Amino acid sequence: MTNTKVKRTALDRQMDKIRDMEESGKLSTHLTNRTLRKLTSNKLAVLGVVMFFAICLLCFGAPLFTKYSPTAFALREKMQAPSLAHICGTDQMGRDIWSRMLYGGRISIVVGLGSALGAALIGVTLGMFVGYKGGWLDNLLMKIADIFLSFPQMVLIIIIVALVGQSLQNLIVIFILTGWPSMYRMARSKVLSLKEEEFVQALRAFGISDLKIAFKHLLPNTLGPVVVNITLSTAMFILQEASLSVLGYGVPQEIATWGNIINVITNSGTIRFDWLGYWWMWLPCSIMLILFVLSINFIGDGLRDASDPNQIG
Amino acid sequence: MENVETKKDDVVLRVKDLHVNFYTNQRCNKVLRGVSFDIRRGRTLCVVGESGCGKSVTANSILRLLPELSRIESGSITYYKENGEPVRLDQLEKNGKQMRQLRGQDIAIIFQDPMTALNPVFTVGYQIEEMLREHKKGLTKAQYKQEAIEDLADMGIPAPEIRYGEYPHQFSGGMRQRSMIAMGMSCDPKILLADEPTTALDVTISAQIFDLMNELKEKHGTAIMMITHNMGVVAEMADEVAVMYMGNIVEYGKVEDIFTNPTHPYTKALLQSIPVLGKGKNQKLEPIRGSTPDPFHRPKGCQFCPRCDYACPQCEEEMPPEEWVKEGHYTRCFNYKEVMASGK
Amino acid sequence: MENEEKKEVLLKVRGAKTYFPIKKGLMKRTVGYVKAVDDINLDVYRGETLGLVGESGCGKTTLGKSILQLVPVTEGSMEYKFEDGYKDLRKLSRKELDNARQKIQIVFQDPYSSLNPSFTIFGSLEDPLIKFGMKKKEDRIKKIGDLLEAVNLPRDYMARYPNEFSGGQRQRIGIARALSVNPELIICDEAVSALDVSIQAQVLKLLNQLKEEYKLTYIFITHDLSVVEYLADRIAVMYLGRVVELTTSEELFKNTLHPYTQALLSAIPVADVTRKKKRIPLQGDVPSPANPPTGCTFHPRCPQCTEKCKQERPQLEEYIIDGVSHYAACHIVKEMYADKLAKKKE
Repeated sequence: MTNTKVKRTALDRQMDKIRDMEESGKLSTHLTNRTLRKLTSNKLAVLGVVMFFAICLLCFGAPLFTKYSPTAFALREKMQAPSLAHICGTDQMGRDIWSRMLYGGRISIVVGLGSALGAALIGVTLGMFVGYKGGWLDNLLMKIADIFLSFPQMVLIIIIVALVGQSLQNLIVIFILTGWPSMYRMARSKVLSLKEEEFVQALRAFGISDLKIAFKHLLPNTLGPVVVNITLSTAMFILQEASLSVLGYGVPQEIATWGNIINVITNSGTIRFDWLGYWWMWLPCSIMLILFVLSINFIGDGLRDASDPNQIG
Repeated sequence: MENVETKKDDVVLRVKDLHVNFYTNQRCNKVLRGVSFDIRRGRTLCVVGESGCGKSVTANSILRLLPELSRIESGSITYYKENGEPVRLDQLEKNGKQMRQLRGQDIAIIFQDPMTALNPVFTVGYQIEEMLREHKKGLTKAQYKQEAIEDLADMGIPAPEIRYGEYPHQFSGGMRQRSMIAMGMSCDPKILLADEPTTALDVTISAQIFDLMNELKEKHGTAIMMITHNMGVVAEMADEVAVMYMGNIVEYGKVEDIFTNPTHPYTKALLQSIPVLGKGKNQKLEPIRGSTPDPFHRPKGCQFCPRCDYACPQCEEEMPPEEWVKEGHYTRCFNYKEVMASGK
Repeated sequence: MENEEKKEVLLKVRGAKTYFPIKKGLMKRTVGYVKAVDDINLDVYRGETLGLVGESGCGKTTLGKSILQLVPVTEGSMEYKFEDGYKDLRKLSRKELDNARQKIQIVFQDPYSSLNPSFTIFGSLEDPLIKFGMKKKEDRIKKIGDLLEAVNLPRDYMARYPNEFSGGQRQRIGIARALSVNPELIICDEAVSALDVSIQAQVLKLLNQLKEEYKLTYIFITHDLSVVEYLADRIAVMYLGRVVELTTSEELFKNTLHPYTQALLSAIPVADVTRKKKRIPLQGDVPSPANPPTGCTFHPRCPQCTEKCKQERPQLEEYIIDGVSHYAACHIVKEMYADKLAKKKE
């Protein structure tokens, strides 16, 4: 008999553990929602949720965490290193950087989330209804979406900023304009896949109207990927706002945003900026930005894995 | 399965007391709970059961094609080579050299849906050649091509030289399944495992495939294990039958015995619940009462007990062991004598 | 069998054709048609179960959907008997079509996609009730509870989600949904094909029981002749979009006329070891409905094919054999049974 030794691997030990628990009856949590179970067992997702709420709390509850105003400048205290009075130091205008980070975070988060929600509202509404109806309207809208998608965003931004000037609202509008096509395509593809499902045909066999089918019956089934996309878009828009602000095309300079804070690194002004020597002026803010974006990405990935029935949880 | 040793030379594969668990979703699902059977040269064993009974898992276990989060807990799968030592398939490394050598060359498998089992971006000829290149080394390119075309012709595919260069989507369902069988038979395996090979095909095409499989059996002496849920297919194709329910073989024997004198209540109830062609409108159709239990909330003793008309207190406590009714026919029921006596 | 003259015709299908255009190229020109339903004439009597049998591509599912106007019908008429006489389903106004939808319903094949996974059973079942006038929620709750009980499921299942049920249970919920608007005619499109064999028996028995209770008429579409032999009063065998044979189920098995039906019956594996049957092998594959053969569409595969079969398309003729009406579309049958041809009446 050709025999080979059966190796016990780590996976084997894990499986033994599960088998023993099952046999002793400890695993009949039959009734909990599978999605919730998967999400809570995903450590990164949980970490993401914690970080997200922590940062939101800091930013929206800013008065609780800092006594300085983000705009009050005191030139005598400019460029001070971190100290007990200013935990992240001060910037070139003497403003407290920590308070600018917190108040600025509000704007960055609102821009990111607001744009993502706005893009979703337009994209999903159009995708559901037009995608369901099909026909020439669907073809037309797909072509329009393609045009928006292929248009280089920077060019669009520069043009609009040149025309109507820099402002928070304009920025959100631009983001929505460039963001709706991908939401539209995503919602549309989900609708297309659901359109031929038998429960939809049953609804048609009852004569239920197209509008009702699209919004009452199909929408809940598309929400899964849409929510994931919203979280991921939020992260993307925050980063875009930051980079635009760094380049000077984002929110006007006086208003604090994460981008405007990090802006300092671009050598604007006559003096060459010693970014290593004055690290507190850009590093803490960058770290907060990265942590926030990471947290959203973890949440988004977790949601996507949890809602996918084929992923082994 | 000592009782079956009488024709030992015929046995090509012996499965003994196989236990397989699945560990998905952080739960432990005992899919196979002690399955034993033999596959013999030149004979067809039909494994029949409903969804969830574990029949596909059995075939996949033989070829070690189980998913990542599962394993063979205990039991043995022994392959008796024609010349050489018997090999314990369950102890080989899952994707190791020995196992991969056996796959295709000694034991081949064909799946239910030929469209998804064939790679759409390669020609059919290329896919057959791949099998040949893996197992028959040292031939020239032209020789491989020639063999692939011959294999296609053997399976009754017309104009094989042209079909050799075509893609799966250009084939019809029946032809794709034939190509799959061609691939499977290309290295002249001793055992052919067929997992619901005709479920996705039309009736008239299925009939052609069955004729083909019988021909292979006769010409090459291949041992066939066919998995199906259709009792009609079993009646037509099987020499031996293994009836599965919830991870166990509840009855195993010759096809005539199983149909005319079932000894297990499940077999009997199953035969009574299917409409038989030709028996007309007034045949008595009796659905099996109840439904298959949740695999995570199984009954304590015999798995069929809650739905069984012959149940007794002992059935609730323990799973009946294999009882030999006669040579070559076993059942897992305490009250099988009663079942036999009450007739059809 | 009662004299068919006395039976009331509920649905009259005449010359029904459903062609799907094949579009190619940038400008999406129509280069051909998939002739899914190709000139069907059929009567459905009130209270009967009519089986529509055939293999894939024969058009049986498309015919079912065409009757419900779920796919656009290219040609022909489908007259349904309403309270105020026969009206062509293709020519109804929006309002009349709504009324028709209440009378004709459908049960689908796949129990897993026939219910909206995001809704509870109550949510899935209440929309048709709302549409057909049940405004008050308590009324709907009561009605849905009654429906679930009618299909042998407990009332409180209405609060659960589809993924908590097995295939057989979901299928029963689909039947309950079809019943919810008190239809007269239910089209069962492969309603038991996706179920385990022992569950099929449960659903078949249920269908028979409901037919008695609610005085229903069924069109039962399937590829499984064993099931339809048990369930149906009359059976229509379809091949490539046409009806090739139509008669009562006893007559079909006793006296199979059309060569295709003969081959089909011989090919079906029978769960009976005592019966040795001779298989009539059919060569080749089912041709594509986009490119059907000339003459009789079955001629390339027919073991009894003649020259006439290659050229001329046989019409569906009625024969009276032993007092039973038996339709077949075959030249060879026509020659053999010329004396039993029914007189043309209209």
